Amino acid sequence: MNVPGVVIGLGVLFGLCLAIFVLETFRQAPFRSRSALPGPENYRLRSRLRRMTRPTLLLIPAKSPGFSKIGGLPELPPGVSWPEGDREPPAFVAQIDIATFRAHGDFDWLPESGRIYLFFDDDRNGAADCGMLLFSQMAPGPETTAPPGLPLNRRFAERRVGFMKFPSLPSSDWLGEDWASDDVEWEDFEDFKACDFGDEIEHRIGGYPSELQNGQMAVACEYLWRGETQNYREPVPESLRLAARQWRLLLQIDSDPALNMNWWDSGMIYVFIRARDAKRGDFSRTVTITQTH
Amino acid sequence: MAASDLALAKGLLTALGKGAVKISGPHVWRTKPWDEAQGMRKWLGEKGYLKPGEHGHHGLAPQNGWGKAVPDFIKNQPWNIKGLDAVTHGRIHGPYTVDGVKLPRFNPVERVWYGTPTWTKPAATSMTGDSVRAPTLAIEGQRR
Repeated sequence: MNVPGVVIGLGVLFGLCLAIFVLETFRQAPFRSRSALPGPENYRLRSRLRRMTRPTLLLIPAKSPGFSKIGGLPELPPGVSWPEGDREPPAFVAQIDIATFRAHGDFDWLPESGRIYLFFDDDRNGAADCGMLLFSQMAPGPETTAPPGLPLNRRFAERRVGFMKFPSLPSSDWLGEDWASDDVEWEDFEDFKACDFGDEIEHRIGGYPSELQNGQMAVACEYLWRGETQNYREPVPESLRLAARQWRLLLQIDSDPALNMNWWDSGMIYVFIRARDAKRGDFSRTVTITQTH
Repeated sequence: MAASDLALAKGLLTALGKGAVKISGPHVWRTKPWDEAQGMRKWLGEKGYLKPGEHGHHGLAPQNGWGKAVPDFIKNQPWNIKGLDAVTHGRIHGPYTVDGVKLPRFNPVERVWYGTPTWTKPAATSMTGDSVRAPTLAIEGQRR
């Protein structure tokens, strides 16, 4: 081994690292100001964000436990059985009473009442129907026994949940344009800062998804629904982009260590539905997208 | 100097040119939109480590499990992130269905192969000889 060569090489490497450190330090805050740009572009983006604001409900531990819960065992109505998976029984993820959270208002794209049950089939991950949603207007029954063959890592602890309402803004991924730039006067959006977009655990209903990875989920939903594969090297056809506007986030379920719920590597499950299907109670036409680290 | 050593050096220089390390924070995977500085995912995209539509896979230190003990400013850096399409990423973690076809989970060797960052391939070659490099690059070429 050429020892002097290695030493010189390491020296050069150290020098380069130092140069990058200096450049990075100067490039980043606090030298970069987020002061708003005046003019029509700023106004356009602000107007767009205001127009697109949707309510979201975070699923938080319930003060007075009711029907809605994450994990545990489903309280399926009589006559309804645990759905079958491709290879193993799907995991039970959550059950939600729609009437309870409709009381929070602003969810008129959902039916007035009914209960939804979400199951997830690991074997179908990637398919639009990997998340299996059951909808019922019937009264719930007692807890259903877990079917034999349900893997241990897909049996979750139970948490009864309540709802906390927040305004939700679309991310730059959803919008398809970078708004985490200097274009927005954040003083105008102080009230949105209460909405959780960070790395905290986020189970939610409605609003916009908190993406872990790149991509426009509404567009991905439309591709999945059509049974097509998106080519990221090609622009999205305008007709498809327009059709994608119909998709609404119904449920977002995060990994949650307290429930022994880990989707791959701290991933998330996102269930989408078209507003018109949801309104008429057709929960058989959902698209589920998964993301992980 | 072997060709593989040159490849390693080239890889290092390319990485340094892109900004091999995000030095100033935050180093969390994603930040709130109103945060002053962007999170690691956006930064990796901006620097070209993640192409449009690519997922960032934590290749060596996972986000969960034992990776929880690794600070974000270490595990969310480019050295640990491999840009993957959704299908490859899905198959590292489990079976994945694409266009109605169910694909099995990668076996452990494939998981290491596809899931570890590209820089580890020439590094492995440097240590073990050029024979490893050819198939690595061939598979990478097929994927791109």
